[in-house]
Amino acid sequence: MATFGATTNTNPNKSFEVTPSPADSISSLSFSPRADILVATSWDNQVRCWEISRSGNSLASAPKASISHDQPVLCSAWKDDGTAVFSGGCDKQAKMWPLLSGGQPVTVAMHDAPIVDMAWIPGMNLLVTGSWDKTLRYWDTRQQTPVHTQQLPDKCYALSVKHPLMVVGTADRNLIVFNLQNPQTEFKRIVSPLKYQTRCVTAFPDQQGFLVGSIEGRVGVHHLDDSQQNKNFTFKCHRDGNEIYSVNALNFHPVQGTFATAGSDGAFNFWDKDSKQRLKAMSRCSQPIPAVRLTMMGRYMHMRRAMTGAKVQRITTRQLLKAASSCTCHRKARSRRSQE
Amino acid sequence: MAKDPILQVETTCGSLLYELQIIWDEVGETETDRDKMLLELERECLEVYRRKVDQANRCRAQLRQAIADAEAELASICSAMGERPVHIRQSDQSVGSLKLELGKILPELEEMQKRKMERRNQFLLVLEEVENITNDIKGQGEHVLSKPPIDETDLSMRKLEELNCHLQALQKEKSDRVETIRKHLCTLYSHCSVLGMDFNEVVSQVNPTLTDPEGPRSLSDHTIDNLDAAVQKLREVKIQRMQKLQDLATTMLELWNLMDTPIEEQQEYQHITCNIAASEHEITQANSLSEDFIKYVEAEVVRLGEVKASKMKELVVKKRSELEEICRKTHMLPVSDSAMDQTIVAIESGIVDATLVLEHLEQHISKVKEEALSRKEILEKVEKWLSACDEESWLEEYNRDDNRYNAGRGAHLTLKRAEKARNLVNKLPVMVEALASKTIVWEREKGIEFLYDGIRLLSMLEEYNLLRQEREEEHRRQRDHKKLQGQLIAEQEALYGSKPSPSKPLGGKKAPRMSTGGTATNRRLSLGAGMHQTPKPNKKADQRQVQVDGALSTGRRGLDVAGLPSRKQSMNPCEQLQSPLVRKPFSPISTTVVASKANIATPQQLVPNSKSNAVNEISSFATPVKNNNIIKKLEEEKMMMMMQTPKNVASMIPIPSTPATISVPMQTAPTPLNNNNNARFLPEKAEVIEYSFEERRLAFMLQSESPIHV
Repeated sequence: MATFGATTNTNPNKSFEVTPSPADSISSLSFSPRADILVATSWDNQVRCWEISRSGNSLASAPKASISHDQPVLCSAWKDDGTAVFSGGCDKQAKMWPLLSGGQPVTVAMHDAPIVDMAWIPGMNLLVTGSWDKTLRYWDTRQQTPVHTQQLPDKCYALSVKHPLMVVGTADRNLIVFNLQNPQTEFKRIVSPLKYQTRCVTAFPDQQGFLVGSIEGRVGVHHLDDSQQNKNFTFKCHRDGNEIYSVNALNFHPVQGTFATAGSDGAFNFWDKDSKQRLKAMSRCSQPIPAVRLTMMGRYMHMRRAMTGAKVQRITTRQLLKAASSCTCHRKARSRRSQE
Repeated sequence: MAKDPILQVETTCGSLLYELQIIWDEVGETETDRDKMLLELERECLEVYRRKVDQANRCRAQLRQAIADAEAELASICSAMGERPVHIRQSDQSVGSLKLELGKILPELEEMQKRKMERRNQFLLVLEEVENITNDIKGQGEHVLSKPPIDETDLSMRKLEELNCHLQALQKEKSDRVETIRKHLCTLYSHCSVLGMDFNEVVSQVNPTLTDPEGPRSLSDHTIDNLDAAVQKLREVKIQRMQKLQDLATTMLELWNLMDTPIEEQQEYQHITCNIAASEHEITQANSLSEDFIKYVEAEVVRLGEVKASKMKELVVKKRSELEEICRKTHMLPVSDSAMDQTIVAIESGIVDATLVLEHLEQHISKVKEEALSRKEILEKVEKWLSACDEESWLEEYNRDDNRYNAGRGAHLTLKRAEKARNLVNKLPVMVEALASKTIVWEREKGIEFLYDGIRLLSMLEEYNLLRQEREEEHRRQRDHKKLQGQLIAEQEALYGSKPSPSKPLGGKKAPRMSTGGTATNRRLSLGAGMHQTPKPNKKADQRQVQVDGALSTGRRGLDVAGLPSRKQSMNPCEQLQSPLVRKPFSPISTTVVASKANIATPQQLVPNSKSNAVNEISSFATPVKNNNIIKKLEEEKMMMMMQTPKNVASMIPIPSTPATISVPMQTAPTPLNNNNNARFLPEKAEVIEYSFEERRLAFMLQSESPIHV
């Protein structure tokens, strides 16, 4: 365990680290759509907020505030006007935290099982939450009860909204596509083009399709229109020889249409689906150090790009997990910000 | 002169005075000075005198004081010793000088003091002894050797005697106590030995000093009380055990008596039973009341009890079988099996006393015997009637046999039998009438219904009469029908020429002559005697028979139908089903009932096998039947089937013969997936529930947290 702290490896790309780090693994990251405010949720029940500022080439982070849940927090989402952030997790509820006004968090959504993913739907002013209780629930933040409860075939694992398109990935490799103009009915239900458990989904920015990542180190590019079916393909990533790692997060560049993947191998890569090219592979951090006993995984839980001025900035959050075989989890988490 | 110092002094004084005068003269002292000097001399001399007198006076006072003291002490000693004072000084009898007096009194005092010391020592000895004994009796374990306080003012002999008396009393008490303890210990020892207890342990519980035979024993009241209590307690235990043992012995004797146990076996326990009337103090044998011994006796009693119980059970079972035998013989309903089994279970579990059950059974048996006697006459008649019924049914069967006049082996016997049977049948109505009237009389007398194997005889007779009427009607109908058929054949022959009669079945030769041999076996069925080892199913079968109201019959019924296919062929199967069929009385319904019914329902199908026997019929039915008609029929008979055994129901459903090629999608949940996906999807459904990383981690976290929270 002591040999674990190979700090040189945890940050091979010389990224900027957001401090202070949460005490436990990061589970999700969200950037405010209006300001340089980063919110990270973590397994230590905390939702933390930093303000990221830039002066010249150097970056600085200032911790602003934090709230806590009763259980590990699994997901977060910003309201489109940047006034509030939502967080939800194992305590089966979602809280709205009016960050800008400095108000207290209020519970706005309840599920029967942990909430695993959520999104704000700007066109409808609704929050959608997906849970392991096999439902999607739409919430008006002013009401106690859900506006609508959508039954899912299985536990929700991931969801992505690009109004009016919403893609939901559930257990058993179901992918359900909703047209949010008619959220009561499923627009389409397909079986994942990948052969293994769905880990993450992301809708195309142009709403023509979505990406789906699985635990088997593979990403599927899927188009919704039947005429575009020939453009569908899958590709391997986050592999190292015979070692196959999970694809943990997918995110599109908000402007360029390229996307990034993060995997359990400790790497994050940039891709262009149209030219089927890998744009850049960042060097892997955190190789498993004590080889046999501690097969560690560096997990990029989430990745996001944000434009600040002319520079593209990338924020990664990494979580290092010791193998569960030794029954004690040694975790380390760092938030990092680097300039490309 | 020189001898007297005073004279000498005087002389000296005179000579000195003279010398003084000479000196004065010489000096020429004046007369005044001389006088003055002489006065001074005189005064100084006086002073010396006075001092000497004072001294002597003081000495005298001291002497007097010493005498007084000695006298006082002497007096006090004398008074303490209770003796008259030896020396009483009387002032008038004063003897001599003071010094003399003192010299006389001092030895006296010394003597008295010596005596006093002696007396005092005597007191001390006695008191010490008293103290010791008191300590012993009070039970203060440690002897505190404190000097007993002596009253110095009273050392008289009387007091000493008093003390001695007290001492003697105490010594007596002590010896009494020692004796008591010894007695108690003896008793205790004997009790312990009888009860098989450790004497030393018991005694040490009372007082540990008692166990030591050499050392001093505690003699206190407390010890004695405890000892007494222990003795009492042991005695109670002894009495208790003795009573228990005597109870056991009594039980043992009773059981021996009851079971005629041989003397050799009894001898072993003689020493127990001999004490059966002994009183508490008579039992002195060591270990004769120990726990182990009682347990041993108890075990023997329990064993004997078990032997007795099993014998009782045997007896109950024997009696019961006797009862059943009587019931069976007289066609009465025996006590139901389950009730009997319950009583046996109850006996085994000890809820019910077997003797009570036995008594009850015997009463029952005597009652049943009595009843059997009263039933005897009617029963004989019933037997006759039943045999007549059998004969009748045989005759009917025989009459149906178209080959009955074929000459063969034993044909003449059959003919003879038929003739006899006809006679008997003619007498049947009268017989029934007589039986009915007799039964009615019996019932009136007894005020109960006459039951024959659980069925009221009168209803049986009534039923028989009904059947008889029906049969006659059927005979008539058949005759008409035959006539009609005869005409039809005649017409056909007129038109197409002669044809073999359809009434002659093809397999005619193979047909077994049931009419000759069938009755003997089936009679047993109808009488139900052979079935009696299980009265319950028989009863049930009878009940069912009543319910079905004769529409169904036995394997024999099936035979009858099968045996006459040609005649029934043209009849509508439905009609045939609905018409109440001829039924043999009291024949139990067997599992073939439905099978035979099915046969009736499908006569066309069965024509080829029509001459086969009952067993064949069942199997013929079991072959897949593709006839829709029969399926329909079967559905109609659903209610009937419910009553059949599962085996029958299974065989009743010939549906498996329908082709299995029509695809039956097992799980046809409509899915928008294409076939390819569907195929992949289905097997994965059967996989174990999948979990995401987060779910696993949460589960792990909760698991690892919970022990801490607990």
